[in-house]
Amino acid sequence: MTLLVDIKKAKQSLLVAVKSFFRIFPTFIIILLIISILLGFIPKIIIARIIGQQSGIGGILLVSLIGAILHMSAIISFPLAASLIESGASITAVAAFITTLTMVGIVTLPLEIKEMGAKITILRNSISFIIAIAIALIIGLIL
Amino acid sequence: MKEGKQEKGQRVIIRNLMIVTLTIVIGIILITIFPDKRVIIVKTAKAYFIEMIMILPAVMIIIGLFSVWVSKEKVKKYLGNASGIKGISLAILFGALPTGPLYIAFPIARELIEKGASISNIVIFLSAWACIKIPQEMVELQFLGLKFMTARLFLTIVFVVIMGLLIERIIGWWDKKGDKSLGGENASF
Repeated sequence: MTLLVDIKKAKQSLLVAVKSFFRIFPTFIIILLIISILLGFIPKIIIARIIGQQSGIGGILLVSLIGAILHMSAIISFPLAASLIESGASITAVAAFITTLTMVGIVTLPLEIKEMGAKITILRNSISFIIAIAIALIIGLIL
Repeated sequence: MKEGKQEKGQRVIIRNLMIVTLTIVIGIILITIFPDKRVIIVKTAKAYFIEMIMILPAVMIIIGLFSVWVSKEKVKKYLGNASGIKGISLAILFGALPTGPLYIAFPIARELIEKGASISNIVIFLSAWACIKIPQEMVELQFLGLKFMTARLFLTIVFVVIMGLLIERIIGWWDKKGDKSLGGENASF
């Protein structure tokens, strides 16, 4: 009896899984293509050069913006950040870059809006952007 | 009613397919114009596709199991509006433990919201997923040092919790305003 019920439930879960997969799949493909094209045209060396040269509030804003647009896994971004600091970039700029890189996703906005709704998405991304700059400035002050 | 829903579903599928085709066409055009970028673009796309196709089905199955087996009452109790600090800690923990890119977390967050989790906890969950990851912190420690890592981790947790509560307030405020104007319209009818 319980087994029967469970099979029914299992089938239902599988159905939900398949449905949500197909609901999301096209958006994933689009994001994947945009990321590939972006990274193809803006190689790491150029990113490093831009971040390394920036200073002051304007520079930090620019670096945060680059972090928000780019999509890179954090594990890759830390070695990049370390090499940036070694080559003379400010700690504040690097902290801003890492934080917006992970928290703000302009490329994934369509997917986030689709799943979470426009309100939460826009609030989350814009406040995260401000927070990232605040975190970076505080880190710059205390380190 | 059902037919209308189906029609709408079909339209969405067609629209999605069109956007996908358009993006692929743009990609192909760009590759033809800049043939020297072809290798890196194809390589990146391939890497991301493999990452996605490895994680996505598993995540979808977890969402499916979750949607059928976990009751609304449970989610509401542990992550709902009245869950307090416990809810916040759980949201951080749920976000920090699994690995994977942030976009994987969106469908999970949607499922949690539908089951009654509070907006603040969802925002905290997403942010924790984005930047409070244990393996990620290890790499950060290794490359950027203990001081940098702990300072950033501590500040992130503090700000993320504030942001979650703030967003919930703002959305609550917006909804209230919307209800009022809606009520006014109804009253005039």
